[in-house]
Amino acid sequence: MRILIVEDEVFIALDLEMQLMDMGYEVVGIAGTKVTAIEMACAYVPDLALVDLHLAGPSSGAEAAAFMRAELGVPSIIVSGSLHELTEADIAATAPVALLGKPFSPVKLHAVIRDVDAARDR
Amino acid sequence: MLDAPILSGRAILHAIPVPAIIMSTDLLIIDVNAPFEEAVARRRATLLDRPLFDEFPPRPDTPNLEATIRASVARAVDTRQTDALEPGRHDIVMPDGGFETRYWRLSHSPVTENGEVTCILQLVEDVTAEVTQQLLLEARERTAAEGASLSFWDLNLVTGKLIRSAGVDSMHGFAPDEAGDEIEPFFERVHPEDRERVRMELFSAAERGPGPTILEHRLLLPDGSVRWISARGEILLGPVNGEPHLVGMVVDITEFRQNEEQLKAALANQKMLLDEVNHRVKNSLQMVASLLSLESGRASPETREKLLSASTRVNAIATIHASLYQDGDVTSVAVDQQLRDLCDHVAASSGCDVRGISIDLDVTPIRLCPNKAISLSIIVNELITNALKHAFHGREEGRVRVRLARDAKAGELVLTVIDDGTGSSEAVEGQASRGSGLGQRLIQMSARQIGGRIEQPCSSEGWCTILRFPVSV
Repeated sequence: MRILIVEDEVFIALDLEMQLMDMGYEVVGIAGTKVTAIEMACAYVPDLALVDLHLAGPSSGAEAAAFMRAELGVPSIIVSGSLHELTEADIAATAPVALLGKPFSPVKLHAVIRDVDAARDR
Repeated sequence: MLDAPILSGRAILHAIPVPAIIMSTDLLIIDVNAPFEEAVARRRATLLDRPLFDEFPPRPDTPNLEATIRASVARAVDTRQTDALEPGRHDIVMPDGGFETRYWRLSHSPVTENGEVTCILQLVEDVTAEVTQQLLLEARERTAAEGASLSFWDLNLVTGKLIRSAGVDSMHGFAPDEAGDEIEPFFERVHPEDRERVRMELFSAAERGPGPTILEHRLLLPDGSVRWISARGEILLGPVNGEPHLVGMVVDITEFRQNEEQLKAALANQKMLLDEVNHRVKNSLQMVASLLSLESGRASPETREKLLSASTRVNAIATIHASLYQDGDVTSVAVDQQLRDLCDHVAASSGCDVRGISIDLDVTPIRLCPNKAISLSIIVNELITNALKHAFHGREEGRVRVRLARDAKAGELVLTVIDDGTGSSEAVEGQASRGSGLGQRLIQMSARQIGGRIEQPCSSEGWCTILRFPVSV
């Protein structure tokens, strides 16, 4: 499975990359803004995107996820420290395959990714 | 001065039952009677042969008084007739030096002898009580009239005729006589967004029949300003055909509303700030966890284990933070749920399912303040981690039980962490206590912080640790 990471915190992004690679997945890139995320998604068309809801500056992770789903058919896992802020409209637009609340443990991450991967194969 | 007619005049003075003075035409006090002494709180002896206005100086704010009295006396002398004055205010100096408010009705009567006016009889009537009573009544009438003019109205719900006081018109931005005698022009001034609601509420009030009703809505005035008004009234059945009337008062509540809006805005702002801080903290905790995880990816197995234990310690604190905001109560932590999260995490990160180890929780539902909850979380984390690390070497399966119960009699909470693995009876490598030095110190210090004490009773099977700590500090 090929995965795009959309996360503006460097440490978190690097850790996600390492863990995903340890799990045997390919990480196609790390994007820190909405614009980069869309560029990378268009260039590589990943199987899954891990998208942080809050990105630096005015960019919105939700918008990036909505674009990837609508234009490229790329599903997203939404990651956030404040999942309760996710509006009905956000959920409708992004249709996330899973939600991951921060702080999350490696165990939790593995479980969520494996579930998504398993569902994909079916 | 002491000839017979004046003597008899003095005798009469002392027989008069109301306050009275005899004075010369140039207002020198000749004599006063006992009721006068009492009325002005002065002794007769201190007043004799004294100029009237030396003893009873007018207040600086009533400068006309002296002139009024002198004029009255002059008229009495001229006309040889009694001259009576309207009640007037003449405050008197009290023994303590202050003035006391008094109203008096004075009359001056000339005393004549051989056709000449020899002296003046002044009758003094204290009318303070009557005058103040009258002033009070007038003030009451004035305020009552103002109150009524502010807000009174009476709407006939059948004919739409509106009888109201002038205040209602000015409140709606109408000049007097501009609005006519029907309700419709007033509806036009109701804010467009509220108009339908106001009509509906009036309609349903009329349907309901007699009883109280309250209506709060906005007005949009011709100058573009918006006001909030509150109309309170009740439905009464009127004299004509039992037509219902809505009768009541209306008050401008714009200022109250504005204050309310400001408070709401401040509260929303506060909540946004809290959410932001909360988000930051969670993100930062994630960064710490990611850092540890990143480092362990490149570390030797020994270092990796140390980093992992640091990571679970960070998590023990992170779960507190997560649960703080989960249920909207930021002052206490639902410990039962939080310990469940903690144990799930520890179990998952040490591969309990693969190793056939279960962690059983039996925690009484209780909320603790965040500081206590953090100490408890650290202790539970260390105890379980130790058990998972040391208790089940070479075993196919195992069980760790975590129990938190109240000891109501002692006013304490009792935490018990017990496993069925390698116990103290078969102490590994002769250790007096299990776990790393740091872990033991963390347990001891955290226990002390919440006023608790640790017991490690000998157990026939496995290892047992008991923590007792007071429910309230």
